[in-house]
Amino acid sequence: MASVVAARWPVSGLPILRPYQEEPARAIIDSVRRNRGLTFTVVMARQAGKNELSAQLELFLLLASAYHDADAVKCAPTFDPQAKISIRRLRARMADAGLSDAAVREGDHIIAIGRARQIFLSAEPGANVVGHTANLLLEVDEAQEVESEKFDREFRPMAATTNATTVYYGTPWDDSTLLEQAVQANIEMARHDGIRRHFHYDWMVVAEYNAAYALFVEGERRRLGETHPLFLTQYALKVVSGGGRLFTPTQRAQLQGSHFRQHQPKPGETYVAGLDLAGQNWERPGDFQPKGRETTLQFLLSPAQSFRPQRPFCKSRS
Amino acid sequence: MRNFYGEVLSQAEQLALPEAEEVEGLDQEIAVLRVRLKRALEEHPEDVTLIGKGLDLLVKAVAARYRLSPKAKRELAEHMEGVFRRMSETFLSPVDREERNQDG
Repeated sequence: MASVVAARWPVSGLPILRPYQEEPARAIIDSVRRNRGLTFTVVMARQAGKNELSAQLELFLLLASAYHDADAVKCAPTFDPQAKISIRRLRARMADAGLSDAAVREGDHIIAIGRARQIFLSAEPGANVVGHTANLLLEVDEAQEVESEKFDREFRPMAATTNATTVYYGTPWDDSTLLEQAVQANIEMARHDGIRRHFHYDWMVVAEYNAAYALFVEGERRRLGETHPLFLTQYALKVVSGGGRLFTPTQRAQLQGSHFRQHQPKPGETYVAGLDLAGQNWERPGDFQPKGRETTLQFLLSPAQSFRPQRPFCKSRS
Repeated sequence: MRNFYGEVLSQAEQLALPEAEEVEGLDQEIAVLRVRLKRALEEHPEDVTLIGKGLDLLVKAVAARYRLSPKAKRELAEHMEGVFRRMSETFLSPVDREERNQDG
């Protein structure tokens, strides 16, 4: 019989997951199997294989639940392209595993095996998503781009009836994102109960398994500089406090002077002006196209007085 | 296969044959039928016979896509179980795999 089966449906050709993908995968599956209802955060450098991990998790759960009525939900900041990319990845893995004949599509956003369904939804502000239940798993793709309010109001309750496991995937941006809030909550909870819920793999971890990736990211580090917000967030996985500003809130506080605002220079004093020639403003995380705002004169110091940073008397121009 | 049909295929068709042999299922054929049906509706909305034939073909193709014989169903279920067991080696810890095997 085995040879007959192998002839009709090829032997599983799924890509082998790397150790840094296996680690969160096992923790997530353990939580699903034991109905622990944990919330996980999986933060990986760009192109490290978050989508691959997610697609294989989905396929495994569909197979495990094929004989039960079970729904898993994955939301993404947009349906096209982000959710569609996830749908394509899952279908590709089904084909790799010789399971195309087992998969049934319902509409353009559901893939089912037997009685288990994987539902893909948009988390865009206007998307109508209420009514679904995630009794198997709730995943949030690119969680740094999903609005917290939308998620908490419309997606989070989907996991309520079965206390389903939730997974946030993404790369950092600033400390206000849905992803970063979940990361901080997970780190805090681990301090109390010792359960690991947060998984973090920067580019150096990925580079251990992929020499070409290491070369590429090294090139990006040289090209952008290792303090560039793009490199910091997408590869080094550092949260950029203040959303990409040059100075952190602490540094900006230190620059505040205690003198009164001056509207004219004092005769005989020397002043130093700070210029930000390439100030950029990104409207949302992951959008790296400058929106045209250029900040020119940032601050003005008077070293002749005491060389202490002074309160700026020229405001930045937006 | 190539020898049997070779005489009736053009040179271009013979070149396309190996690629066609790689295609599995009916998904692409169903998609092409849908596109052609849409074109027929746009260009010949009055031709009810043409549209009816197109719809008939599409319905048959979709039905065939989801219809498996009892033997094929059994084989597919066995294959699903095989894939699940192989994936379990990645997704379940050795203890969990043992536990699941005992559960059956």
